Amino acid sequence: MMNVTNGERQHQYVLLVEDDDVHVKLIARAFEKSVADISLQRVGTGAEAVAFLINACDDSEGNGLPIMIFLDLLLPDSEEVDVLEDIRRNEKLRMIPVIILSTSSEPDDVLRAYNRGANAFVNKPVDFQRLERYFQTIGQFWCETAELPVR
Amino acid sequence: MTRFEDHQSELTARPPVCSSARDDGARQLRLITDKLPVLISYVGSDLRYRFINREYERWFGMDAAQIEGRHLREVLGSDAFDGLAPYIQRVLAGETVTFESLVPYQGAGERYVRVHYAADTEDSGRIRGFVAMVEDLSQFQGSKRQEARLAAIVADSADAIIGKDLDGNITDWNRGAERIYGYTAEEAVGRNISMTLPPDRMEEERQILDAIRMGRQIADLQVLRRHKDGRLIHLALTVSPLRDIAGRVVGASTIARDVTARLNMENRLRRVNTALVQRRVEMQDFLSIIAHDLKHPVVGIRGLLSLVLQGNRTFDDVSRENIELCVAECDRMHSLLDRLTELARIQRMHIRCKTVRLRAFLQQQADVFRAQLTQMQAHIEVRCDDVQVDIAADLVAQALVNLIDNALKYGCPRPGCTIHVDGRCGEEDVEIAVADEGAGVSTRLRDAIFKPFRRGVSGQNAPAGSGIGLAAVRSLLRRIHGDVHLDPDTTRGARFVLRIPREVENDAGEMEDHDDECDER
Repeated sequence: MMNVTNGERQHQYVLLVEDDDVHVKLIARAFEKSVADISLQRVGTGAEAVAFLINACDDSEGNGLPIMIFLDLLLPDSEEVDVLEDIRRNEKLRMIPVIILSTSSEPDDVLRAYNRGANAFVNKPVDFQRLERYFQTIGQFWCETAELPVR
Repeated sequence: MTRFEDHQSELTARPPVCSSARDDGARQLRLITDKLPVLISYVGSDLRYRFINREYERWFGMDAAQIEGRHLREVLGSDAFDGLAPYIQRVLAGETVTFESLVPYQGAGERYVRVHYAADTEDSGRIRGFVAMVEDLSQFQGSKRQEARLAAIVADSADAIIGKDLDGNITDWNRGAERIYGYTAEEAVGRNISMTLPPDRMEEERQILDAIRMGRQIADLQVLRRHKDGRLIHLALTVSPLRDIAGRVVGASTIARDVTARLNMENRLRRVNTALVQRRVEMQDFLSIIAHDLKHPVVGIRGLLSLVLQGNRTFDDVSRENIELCVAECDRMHSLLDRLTELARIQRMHIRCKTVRLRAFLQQQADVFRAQLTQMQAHIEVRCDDVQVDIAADLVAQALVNLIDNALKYGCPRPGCTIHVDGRCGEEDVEIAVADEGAGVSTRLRDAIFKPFRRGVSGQNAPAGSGIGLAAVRSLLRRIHGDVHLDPDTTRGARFVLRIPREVENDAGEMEDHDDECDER
């Protein structure tokens, strides 16, 4: 696990589930430019993500959960672990918004993700400037406009 | 008994009715010969007529006086006489002759007749002449011929045709049955049909005979039977009741066709088809996965290059240009992968037959581009009869949208251009043409434009009408056994013609969920 913001776990953070270090770097860069005061925690596999979240639930103060999850669709262990389904089945986790970040924009993939409870499906653009714009929009909506269950 | 020749002179002279007993006898004889619908004659050994009856006169259109005394050849004609001569020789040798034949009579035409010749022999053995009776069978000839032909058809049929009684005892066994079951007619007739049944199928024959007893026909029943050599054969049977003149069922006729070869072929086809479907699915999955997995690093590299450019403002011009070229290459790679994904997606599309009104359907696809048309000041004109057709509508819509998109990109070089979408409904195919006002396609590239990923054809410096669009269109159309081609006779712009088979089969068996019927919309 890597703490992207390089500090102690802050009060509000987003969990990024992404195996590709380069993508993590790009997303972190775009994210931190657009969203202030919210850090990014990163895990590299589905199993790590599930373990991280269950561990965060057990935090007695109840404030260890991420405000939101960015989930890559194709993880090294995505055949064995279905992160989205595990989150939606878990009573303590199911309210967390999950945003799918994927290089695929296949209609089938999109439909399947929403059917299984994704809150949004975002296609990772090839153009970095556009990625930055996307994260600005995401930040504006999810972190400023919308009321979130975890504060 | 009065001898025929005794009355010859009186008969010929047709005397008035007399009251004597002798005259009575003559009158009765005359009546008999004249009332029977047969030809009766007496011919001397010199082959000249001595007597003919009324029917004879009618046949040849001459009265007795004209015929009697004349030679057979004169009255019958040479053709008929020559044909009859061998029989006449036999009767003049004392033999009684009966035969049936087609005889070309002069004056009476060709008749199918049954002939009896009886010799008039003296005690000394000398032949004085002969009596001839001729029956006209021409009216029965049609049905007789038909019977003979039917018998020949049954005998020589490649299918087995078998007659059996209600206990299954074989009464008839044609050559087809000999070939299919391996038993000769001699071996089979008299034995029971159960000899052809595999031991576990005895019950089946009992059920068949039960149905026959109730007067029911069994059509196209697929069964397993045993050849004389022991091997099992697949047969298609039709068993019908045989009835007597009172309508009672007295037996059954079985027509059996050997379908072993056909079934084997069907099984082979099914296996090959399953394997092909399997391979196609694997191929699609493979395409989809590599497209996705390869995109990941491209997006990464492209993003990092952007960061490099953003972060370092001290690059010299050459380095900056090189990095920008890398970015462009990433974009190209990304778009190629998009196309690959698109092709894989098309291959996975379900084929579903839908009933659509062709004109409205075409207009609907044109309407997808409404905003773009306004912006480009271009028009789409749909020309089509208002007909209802069954086509794989979703697939065709996808192909059509691709073509119109192409036409807008490459075929509308100035404001005010019109794209023509023409629909035409043929007997087996629907034809849809999309014509633009662009530069057209050079002859050299006519085939190349339909191939995906052709270097110099697809990509950024592609000529008019190219790109994954056309490869996708062809791929879509071929899935439903149709095609797309570039109209070679168009002098202006490009005109692409889709040939779409009507009433396609939904894809069954290769997708998890499918519909067997056309959706009525």
